[in-house]
Amino acid sequence: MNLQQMLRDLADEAPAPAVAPGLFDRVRRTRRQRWLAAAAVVVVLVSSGYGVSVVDLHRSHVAAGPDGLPGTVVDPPRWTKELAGSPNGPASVVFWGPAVAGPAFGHLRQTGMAVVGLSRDTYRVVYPSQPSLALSPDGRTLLLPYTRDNGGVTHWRVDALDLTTGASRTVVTDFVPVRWSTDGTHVLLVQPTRWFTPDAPGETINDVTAMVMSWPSGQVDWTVHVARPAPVEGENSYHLALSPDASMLAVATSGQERVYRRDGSLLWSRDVSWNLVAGPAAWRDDGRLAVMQRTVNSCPGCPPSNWTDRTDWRLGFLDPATGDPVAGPGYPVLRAAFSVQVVAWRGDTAYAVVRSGSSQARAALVRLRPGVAAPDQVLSMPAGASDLTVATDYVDSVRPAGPAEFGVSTSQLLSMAYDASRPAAAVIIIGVLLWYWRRSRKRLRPVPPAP
Amino acid sequence: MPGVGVAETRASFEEYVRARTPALMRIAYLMAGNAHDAEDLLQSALERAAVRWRQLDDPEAYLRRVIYTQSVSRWRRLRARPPETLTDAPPERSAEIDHDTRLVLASAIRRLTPKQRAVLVLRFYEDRTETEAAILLGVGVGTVKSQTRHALRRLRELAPDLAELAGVSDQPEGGAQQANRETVQ
Repeated sequence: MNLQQMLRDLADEAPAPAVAPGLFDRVRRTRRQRWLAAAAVVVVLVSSGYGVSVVDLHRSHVAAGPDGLPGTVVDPPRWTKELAGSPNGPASVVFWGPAVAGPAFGHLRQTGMAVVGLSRDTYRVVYPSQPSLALSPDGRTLLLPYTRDNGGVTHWRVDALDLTTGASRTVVTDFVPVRWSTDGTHVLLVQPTRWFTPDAPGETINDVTAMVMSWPSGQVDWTVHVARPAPVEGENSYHLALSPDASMLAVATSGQERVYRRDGSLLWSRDVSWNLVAGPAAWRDDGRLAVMQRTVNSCPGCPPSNWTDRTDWRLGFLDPATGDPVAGPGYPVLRAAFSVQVVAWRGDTAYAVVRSGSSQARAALVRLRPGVAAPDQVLSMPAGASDLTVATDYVDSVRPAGPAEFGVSTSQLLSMAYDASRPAAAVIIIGVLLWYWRRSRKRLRPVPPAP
Repeated sequence: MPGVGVAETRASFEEYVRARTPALMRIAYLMAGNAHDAEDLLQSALERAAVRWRQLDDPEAYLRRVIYTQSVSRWRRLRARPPETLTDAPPERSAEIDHDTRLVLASAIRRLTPKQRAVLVLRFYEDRTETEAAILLGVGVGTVKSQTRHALRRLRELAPDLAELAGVSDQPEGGAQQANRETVQ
């Protein structure tokens, strides 16, 4: 007797198989139920993101306080909900920079911008095609630029986003928004010449057409062509300020300051080197034109100064009729800043957005009071907020910050899950391919039936 | 069996179960070492086959593969492997060769590792070649060879009687017929 015979004798002792009746149907029913349960779990998980966002939306309606700028602004998390689907009412602050993530699944031509509520600390995000926007002084409307590619040609449009309802409408095409007038009755927009004449010579390629539009009618009041033969401030920086009656436009470009009349004629122009129009609120109600006098630190042998260098800034005033300097109170110097933009006045006190920092600009809203040595910080921003704009009606109303509410963006959550799963997905895909490969190899090698 | 309805698939499955489960049960019994675990093993294999019955080109090969792979799977091994008892002396030789040797063999087989048990059953019960055993187990031929060698050595250690009775050794493919021609060194 050999081992084979012994094993066969041993196998003969196996009991008769007792297969449960209805095995086929039971197994398939159980499998179907497991699939349904798994599908239900997936549906619950996906919809829970939407559910959480709905809960958050309702929660955002309960803790409203007085209107004003928040005492503290924080970084919005990546899953912050998009404003269009979940409006958070009038805005106090809009900021952008590395602190604000881009859209879900990435889009190179869209920039993430955080919109902070006026009466509560609700955060929402918008994704315009360029960080050139205008927030109305009352914080109710945001003008945003968007692009659309059509047959290789890029078309720009400006949408007015109603922050209370989330509704959006296109107000003009082929322009980008730049400023809102301080009284909220006019909007200043710009059309770069290069959009339509990309082959223009260097002297005119950076020219722009500025347009003054009445609000809310959307009527075009007037336009003016602004020559920028050497825009040292950068091709995409527009230093423009409307007069209080919207009949004149102050411009700083190419080392000059100029004032244009509404008929397009030049009232005056003078070389000012590094000085600039002080910002969208440069034109005071008393008729003076505020300018920012820059002190460029130069030394023998140092490389020539650049527009992007950090410099010291101090407010000064010009006569808008002649361009001659006029006397004014002394303001504190803003040191080592990339840019300063006066956005509002309360009496002789100026409110300005300052971008400073070492390598990465960090924006802040400061108060410049005459006769005071140093500016007061009104609004401090998180480190990744490189620029901001505020509802200028509320620069002197700072409310205490409450708990921040961000909503939940399901698409951003999915995008985050996708990003996180990419390394694991690669491993899984390789594993599945290997498994199929091995399986197919096994199938190609038939096994003869057992004896 | 593409294009076949559920009723026909069920009929086909049940007909197969009636015809082939006794043979499959014998393999499961050898692999599991006891009736209860053998039924569990067979039931598990039939359940797996039932949900994909329509897609199976060779149900017999699939079921055998499931029985073998399940019996050596980690989870089943953790649950089903009987505890080993260490003794001071090897088991005593039985005087009644046929009956007692079978008992000794059953006991020794239960104390092999599942992989060793699988290669022994394939090579000496089913009389498979090393290549066929490797395909069924989803391992390389070298693994089958080494596992066979280890299994036989372990059998000799656990049951010295079997060395004389079976006269087996680890051999190149050709199955038990070839292997039985060799004697234990």
